[in-house]
Amino acid sequence: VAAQSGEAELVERARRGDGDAYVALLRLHEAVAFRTAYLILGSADDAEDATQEAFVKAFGALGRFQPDRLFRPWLLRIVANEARNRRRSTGRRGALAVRAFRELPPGSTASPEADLLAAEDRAELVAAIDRLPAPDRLAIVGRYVLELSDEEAGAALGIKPGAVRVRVWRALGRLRRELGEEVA
Amino acid sequence: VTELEQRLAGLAGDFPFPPTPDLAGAVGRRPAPAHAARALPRRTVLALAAVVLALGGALALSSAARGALLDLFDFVPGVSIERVDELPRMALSESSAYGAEVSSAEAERRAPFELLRPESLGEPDLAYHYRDPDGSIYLVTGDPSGGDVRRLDPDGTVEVLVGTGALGPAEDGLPATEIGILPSDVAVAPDGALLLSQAEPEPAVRRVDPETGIVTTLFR
Repeated sequence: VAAQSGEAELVERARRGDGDAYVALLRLHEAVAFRTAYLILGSADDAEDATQEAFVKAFGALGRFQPDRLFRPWLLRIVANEARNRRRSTGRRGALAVRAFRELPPGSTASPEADLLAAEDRAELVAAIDRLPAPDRLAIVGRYVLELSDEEAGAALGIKPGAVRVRVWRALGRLRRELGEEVA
Repeated sequence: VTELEQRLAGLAGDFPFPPTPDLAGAVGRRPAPAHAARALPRRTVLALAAVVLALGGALALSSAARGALLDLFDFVPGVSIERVDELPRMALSESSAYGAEVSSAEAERRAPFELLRPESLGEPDLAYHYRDPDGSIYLVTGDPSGGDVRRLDPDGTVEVLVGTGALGPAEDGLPATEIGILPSDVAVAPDGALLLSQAEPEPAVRRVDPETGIVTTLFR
C-alpha cells in the first residue's frame, strides 16, 4: 500500500510536469516494460528503442491517464503497442537469446549433474517458447516468468483482462505440442 | 498446476532476458520532452481558437465594440462617427463663411469706413472681411499686440463688438468689449451669437452671448 501511494504521488507529480518524478516512476517499471517489448520484438536493441520511445510518448499522454487506475498496465499497453508497431514496420521476428541460458551458475542444484540436467531442461523449454508465435510467447512468459496480473497481461497483449486466461491456456497447449515434438 | 506450469514458474528470475538498459535515465536526459499534461487537448485548442476568431471578427465589425475596447484599455478616447440626416449649418453665405483674409487697406476699401485705431498700435498686419446675411460687414483686425472685431451695419453704424485693441484681461464672464485678445476670425451662429477664434492670449474659440454680450469659451 505504501509503495502504491508512493507511486500515486510520483504519478501526480509527473502529471504536473515533474520530469524527475517521471524518471523515478519509470525506474519502478522499466525492467518489466523492456522485457515485454523484448518478448514481442525478440531483439534487445529494438526493444530498447521501442521502450524508450514508448516512455516518451507516455509522458506526453500522462494528461489522459486516470489517476484512479493502476499505472503499470497503462504503461505496458503503450510499450506493447509501440513494440507491435515497430515489429509490423520492420517485419522482423527476432529469436530469443538462449545461448547465455545454457549454463547455470554452479550450485544451483544439488550436484553438477543435476545442474547440467536442469540447464538442459531450461534451455529446451526456452527454445520451445521461442518457437511460439509472439502473442503466445508473451502470454506464457508474461504469466509465468514476469508474473503479470491479468490486467497487465491483457494490456501487453492488447486484449481484455478476462480473455487472458484463455489465451494462456491455448498458448500452453501449443507449447506442449512444441515440447512433445521435440521429445518425440 | 500442471508440471509444465511448474517448469515455467521455475524459469522466473532465471529467464535469459538481456540486461535492462538504463531506459529511465535515457528518457530523463532527453531535452524537455513535450508534456501533454499541461498542454490542452487539440479539440479544446481548436474550440478556443474559433471563439477568439469569432470575437475578433465581431470586434472588427462593430465600431461600438472597438470604441468600448479602446476606452477600456485607455489607448485613445473612443471616437464614434454617426451619420445624420441633416448637417448643422451656420447662417453664413458661402463666400463669407470664414471671412476673407485681406490687407487692412483692402478691408477699409470694402468696408467702407475708416478703421479707427489708436495710432500707437500702427497698421494691423491682417484684416478679415466678413459680410453676414443681413448685409452687416464684420472686420477682424489685429496684430501681435491685440485686436478687435467690428461691425458695420447697412445703415453705416460702426460698432466695436469684441476687444479693446490691446491684450489684457480676457477671462470668461467679461463683456466682449472689455477683453484684451487678438481675434483671428469671426462668424455668426444661427442663434445670433458671435463666434470668434482668437490667437492671443491663447488659441481658443469664444462665444459672445447675443443678449448679454458676455464672453464664454467654447474650445481651448
